[in-house]
Amino acid sequence: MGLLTILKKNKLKEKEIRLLMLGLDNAGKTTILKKINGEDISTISPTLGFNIKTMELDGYKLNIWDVGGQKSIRSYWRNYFEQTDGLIWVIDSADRKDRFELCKKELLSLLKEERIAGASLLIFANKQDLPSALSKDQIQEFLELDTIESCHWNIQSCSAYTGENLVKGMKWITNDIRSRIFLLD
Amino acid sequence: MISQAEAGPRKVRVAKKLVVKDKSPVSSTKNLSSKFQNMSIEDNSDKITPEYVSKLKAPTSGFLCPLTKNKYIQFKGFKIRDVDSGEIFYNVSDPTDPEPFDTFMKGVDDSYRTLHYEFSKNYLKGKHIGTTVEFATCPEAIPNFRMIERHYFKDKLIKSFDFSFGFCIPNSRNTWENVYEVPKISSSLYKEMLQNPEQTCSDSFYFINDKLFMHNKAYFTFK
Repeated sequence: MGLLTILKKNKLKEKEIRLLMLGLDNAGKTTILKKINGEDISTISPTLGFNIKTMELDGYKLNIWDVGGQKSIRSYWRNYFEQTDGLIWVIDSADRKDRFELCKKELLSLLKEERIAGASLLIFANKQDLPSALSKDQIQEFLELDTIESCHWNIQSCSAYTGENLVKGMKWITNDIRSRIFLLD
Repeated sequence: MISQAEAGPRKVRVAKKLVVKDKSPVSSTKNLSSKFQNMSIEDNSDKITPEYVSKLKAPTSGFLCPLTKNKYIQFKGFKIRDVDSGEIFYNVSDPTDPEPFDTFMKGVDDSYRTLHYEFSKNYLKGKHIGTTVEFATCPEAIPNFRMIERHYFKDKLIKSFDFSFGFCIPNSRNTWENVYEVPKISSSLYKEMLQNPEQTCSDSFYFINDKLFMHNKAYFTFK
């Protein structure tokens, strides 16, 4: 009985996927997290720490870590890199120009981090419901995503407010991780 | 943010402050206190490891660490919901700032860490349940925060959770929702759980760097 339990446990451990959701403050990370989970999004305050969701998806255990994006918190992001299988970078597509510059800078510095270098990267071009939002193609060009070679990446336009394309993005990243890590299953 | 519960009390810490039942009356309180002094629980709790509590097969008879060990975490909210139907079984939230961490445990007794929940019986029929905890942390960074929770019915283990939060940012406010599949229970067990208030219970153990610093108990009644 003992050995079987250990084997089962080990297998289960490997089937845990860890996603880290980052981005500048007010990008909509917590709203995305709540929306995909069917929760009320009418009152969301700035995250002064983390919000974690643990859930079962197609038999896999999924842990999503949404860490606050305020300037004072960004220096702690590196404490959450360990064992991250996928990075979700959230962008306010209707943000100001200088914030886009900052967003690009933060993303590029993240991609240099060894501990998350191999993780699948999903970019959510959020707030597409706003008329001033840049398109996914415009953002892709601005962030020079085509120069990324260190990892699998995908950009998905979405609206956390309406819920549009959130599941599509989540499906892409979990499938990509699964095909990379669980190929031998 | 979790909204204030309709009828829920404002402060989580006094959410369900009920009298702790004395299940094993001791002849005199004097006896009891001298017994505790000899036991020196402060020392013993240092030896309680995650491995140890993970092997427990029944609720502990008392608390495995003194209240004053917790200078790190203050709970600010609890929520329990049916993910499929949206029904909310329990929701309390305290939006206020945490109290000073080095003194907030002074003068409180075990009722502080003994919670009594009363849930709709739909809870037992739910397919996916989501439990959310919200907590504030002390001014120092917490390196390795871990929770192990053991759930029992009539001294039999029915469910166990083990979750590593890892690093906690100084002075932070954090939430964790655990959405899990409820194991199917037989109609006879369902009946039994309904008919036996407070026989469904849990021990929650909290560790920092594998050292126990907080132990809470909860008792459940389904109606």
